[in-house]
Amino acid sequence: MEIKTYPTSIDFYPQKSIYTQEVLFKCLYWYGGDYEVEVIDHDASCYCIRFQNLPSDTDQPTLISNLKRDLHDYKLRDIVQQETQNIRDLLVAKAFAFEDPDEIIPDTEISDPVGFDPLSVSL
Amino acid sequence: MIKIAETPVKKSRKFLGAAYFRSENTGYHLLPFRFMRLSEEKEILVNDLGEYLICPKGTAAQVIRKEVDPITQETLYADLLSGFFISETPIPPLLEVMATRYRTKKSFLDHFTSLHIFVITLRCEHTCHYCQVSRVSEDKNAFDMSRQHIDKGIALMMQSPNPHLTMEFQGGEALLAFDNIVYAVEQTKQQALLHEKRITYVICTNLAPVTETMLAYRKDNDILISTSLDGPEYVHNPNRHKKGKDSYQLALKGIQQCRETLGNDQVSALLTTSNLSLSYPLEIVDEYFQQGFSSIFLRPISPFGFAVRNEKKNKYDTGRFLEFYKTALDRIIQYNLDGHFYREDYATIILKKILTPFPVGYVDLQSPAGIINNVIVFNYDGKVYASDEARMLAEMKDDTFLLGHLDEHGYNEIFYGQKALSFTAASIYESLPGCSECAFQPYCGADPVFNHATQGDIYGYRPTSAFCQKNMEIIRHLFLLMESDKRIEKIFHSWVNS
Repeated sequence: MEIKTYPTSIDFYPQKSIYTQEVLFKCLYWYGGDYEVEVIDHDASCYCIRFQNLPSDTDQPTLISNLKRDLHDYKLRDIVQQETQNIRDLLVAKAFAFEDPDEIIPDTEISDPVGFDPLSVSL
Repeated sequence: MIKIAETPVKKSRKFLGAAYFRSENTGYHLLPFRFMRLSEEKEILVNDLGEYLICPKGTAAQVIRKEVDPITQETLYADLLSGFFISETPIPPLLEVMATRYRTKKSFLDHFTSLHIFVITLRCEHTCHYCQVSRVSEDKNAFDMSRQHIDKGIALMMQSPNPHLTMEFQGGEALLAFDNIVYAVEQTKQQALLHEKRITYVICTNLAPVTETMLAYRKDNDILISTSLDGPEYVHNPNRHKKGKDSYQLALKGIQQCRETLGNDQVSALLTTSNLSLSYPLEIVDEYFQQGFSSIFLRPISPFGFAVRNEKKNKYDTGRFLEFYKTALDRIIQYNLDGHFYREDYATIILKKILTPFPVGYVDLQSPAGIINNVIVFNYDGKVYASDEARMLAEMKDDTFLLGHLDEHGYNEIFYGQKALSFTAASIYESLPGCSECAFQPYCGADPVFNHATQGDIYGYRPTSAFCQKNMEIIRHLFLLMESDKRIEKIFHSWVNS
């Protein structure tokens, strides 16, 4: 990722092929409390993330390192989200689905050594 | 030709090796989970079921890139499988079990509102500088809840689908309207029989006005007492102003009377942490221990309402509270290491979420939030609020969380009305910015009232949220404590299981 530093600003140029808008905004959300951040659609291949009006005592190397690490983490979170969304939906749907216990029919054969067919028993 | 029968191969009854049971397909599929850094060396993986795995930094990336080797990293692989972080099949074979566990985590929603707070009077003989309600003098009966409103509040409470209800009397100083409490309890007892409800009664009181008659009635009706103790005398009295400066002595005398009459476990005390309190974490913990309490609830002051009118005494940043909390928690843990049972209640609530499959009925740490779902407040004037903090705001002329009035609105209008619904979207952390990706989500909560009061927006803004800062750091600290010393983990288990 190309990075340009200036006395009171830093520009990061993450590639669109690697980082989606969702990843960028979820990551940059956490920087909004401390920094003035702008996301610019730079060109066909890159966004520009601009940290501007940085105070003179800003530790720029640490900020750069933290942002690179956080972008990486949010990219990983995005992979989990993309791959598991269906399972999560299924999990929540199953958890809150209404099931009448009387309607549950065992999907395996049940045998009983005493000799009666449990499925023939009406409740 | 004679055929000689081959000797049958005798089947071994020995356990087969792990390789026999391992799926031939060594690839695995991810299941939903979140991760974050705990420290420079460790990170934590947490899933929606509340299962967690603490592992070296970089493990999450390895898991997500599907680079965990089931042979060379057998233990990690097994932990990931058994903790439902990965699955060897696209649809996990134990999906039904996962769904049941998820449902259990959300089972606090099953019965809807349980805690019904009746602000029985706004009168009080204390003038605490942090009190959540504006104080009014003792002799103004205009600030007592009318019998008509008590009846209407009870009628609404009986409509709750929840078979187990808690009726909590708050003030001002609730015991100044003791006759109204007696009336409310007697009415509720009759109604509870008709509606087949089990009721737990609680009186929140500073115990200064308590009499033998009150204690006798309390005993006959199994009413729990929740009182206030802010620490040693030199912290309690400046915090809790009263004519004669005898609040501390009266509180101790009342606690003693309650214990003698009702038993040790029938009275609990709450601490409110003012600016002054922050300088005395050890002394406060020691005071509770010396007064015979086996638990203490270290809670910060609610940074809104009446409390922040006096910024010098009550406004402090979350960092200072966290420093206070950690110092006090260390002292509490030391008591336990010395052989005593002594619990911190806020940590216990979070630890129950971490160490057990069950939810905790604590209004501030739920999703959907506890407002309305778990608690409702009937104010002294008949107005109905979404939570205790909501009426705190109302005393500062902010009626954002006013749901209706006992004289004008019915159950459906109050509990399922447009206003109640409008809070719902902001009450679910699964869909809140910042929270949706947070690994500590299953242990935390959503608090739209706090967000509105401190940031002017019911959804809140996590990067500058004191609620987020406090909970993230306390949860992280609890995990690190458990990781640092197995004796502490054992102590935490004892708190959860007590």
